[in-house]
Amino acid sequence: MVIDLDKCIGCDACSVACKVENSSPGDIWWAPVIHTEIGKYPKAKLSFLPTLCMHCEDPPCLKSCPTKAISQREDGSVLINENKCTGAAACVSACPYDAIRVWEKEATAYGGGEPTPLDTYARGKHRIGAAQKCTFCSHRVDFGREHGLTPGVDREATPACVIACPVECRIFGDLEVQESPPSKYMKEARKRGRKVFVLRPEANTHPKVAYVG
Amino acid sequence: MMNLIQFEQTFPVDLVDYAGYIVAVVAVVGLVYKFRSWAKTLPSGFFREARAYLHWSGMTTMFFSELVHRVLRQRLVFRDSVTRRIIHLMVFWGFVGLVFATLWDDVFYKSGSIPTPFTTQNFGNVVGNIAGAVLLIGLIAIVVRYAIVTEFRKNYKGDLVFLTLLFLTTLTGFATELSRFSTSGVAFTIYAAHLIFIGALFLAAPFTHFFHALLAPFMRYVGRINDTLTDRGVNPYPFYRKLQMANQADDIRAGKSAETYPYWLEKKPAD
Repeated sequence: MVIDLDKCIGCDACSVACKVENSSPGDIWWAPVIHTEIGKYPKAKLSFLPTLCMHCEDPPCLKSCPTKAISQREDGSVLINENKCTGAAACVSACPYDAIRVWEKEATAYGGGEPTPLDTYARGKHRIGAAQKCTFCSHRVDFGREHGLTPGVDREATPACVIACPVECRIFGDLEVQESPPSKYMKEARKRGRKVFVLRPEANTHPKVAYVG
Repeated sequence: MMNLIQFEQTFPVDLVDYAGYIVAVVAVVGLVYKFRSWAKTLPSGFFREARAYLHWSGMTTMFFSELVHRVLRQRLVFRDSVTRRIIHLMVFWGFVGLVFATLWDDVFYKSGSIPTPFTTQNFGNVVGNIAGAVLLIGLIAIVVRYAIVTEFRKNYKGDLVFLTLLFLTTLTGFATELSRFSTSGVAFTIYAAHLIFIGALFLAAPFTHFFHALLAPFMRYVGRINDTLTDRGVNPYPFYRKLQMANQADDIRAGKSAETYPYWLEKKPAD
């Protein structure tokens, strides 16, 4: 996935779309947007950084899991098997991107009050005590593949955060294919002299999410 | 007076003890290696920061809190499934009971005999038998679930070694208890098999699902320290990691830091 930071307006539509699509439980958000203030008055401005699991090529969470509950698919997505997870939270400490959380306590998604239908659904779908993180909407990707669709091109085969973004700042696709949307986007961005980068390269995990800014 | 087989009269007890020490050392080394390779993924200076902010007293309190709530009470284990929770509790408490019974007998009596009439020495046997029964029922329930629930079978395929060894250890343990009331020599064979299975169980611990039982509490303890430091806003813990990421992105965009190309771009030939 490629995320264009110049386009992001910090609307949090991706975070909400992810929560609705995946029913992430309680106060856990799989794809939060970090809002930070940079500069000083009168030149202060807000900066937005959409985040999610980076689906690293060499994921430290996978190595750290004592119960082998984390696996990497052939397409590179890193997934947690909640049935095998014992909530040791080794992955939480291991992830350099703070992309994993353990669902430890009952909490409502929107800051207290009665559980919403979303909360109720999340309780049925996820297991309390298990680690949670973005799946790159692998169920949508699988559905697309089964129906001859192309992830990143066809809406039904593309992650919810990507299709919900009103400014299309998230671009999803197969990074190994030269003509895939993210590959083309990065080529174009570099031609125009824009910066293409990954976060925390010092962790040496080879993240599969790149930023353009 | 019942005919009781005195194992120590036939078994080279010292040899068994030495074998036990060797197994324990190999298992501990394997587990420490596993734990260290996991701990290497923690942010640098984690424990130094933890000591500075929580002090030894805070860390000790936290350790016992984790021990009581997470480990002994199994507070968060399978809270969504009563069946799985009960099975897990049975296996856990059965195993703990057996460890306790073995230690009781070993520490206080150093003997495999059963005296009559009832003394405190019987206490270890009583606890051991009850715990063994609980563990065996739990393991049978796992086997039944394994046979019935396809998803479960898929999940635990790689952990069959651990389950099989634990099952065989429990079965031979019971068989040992029963056979010691007979005068048949088969009792020694069963007891030898029991010891071998225990050895194999611990030797394989770093590579099987047993790993989670022995190390997960420590990992969870580190996780708890991590959570606490996060709540207090101490870096370089999770929330700070996010801020670090945001700052890094801002610096790169502002030209203050060098670009960090994605590795897949580095792999591909230049356009």
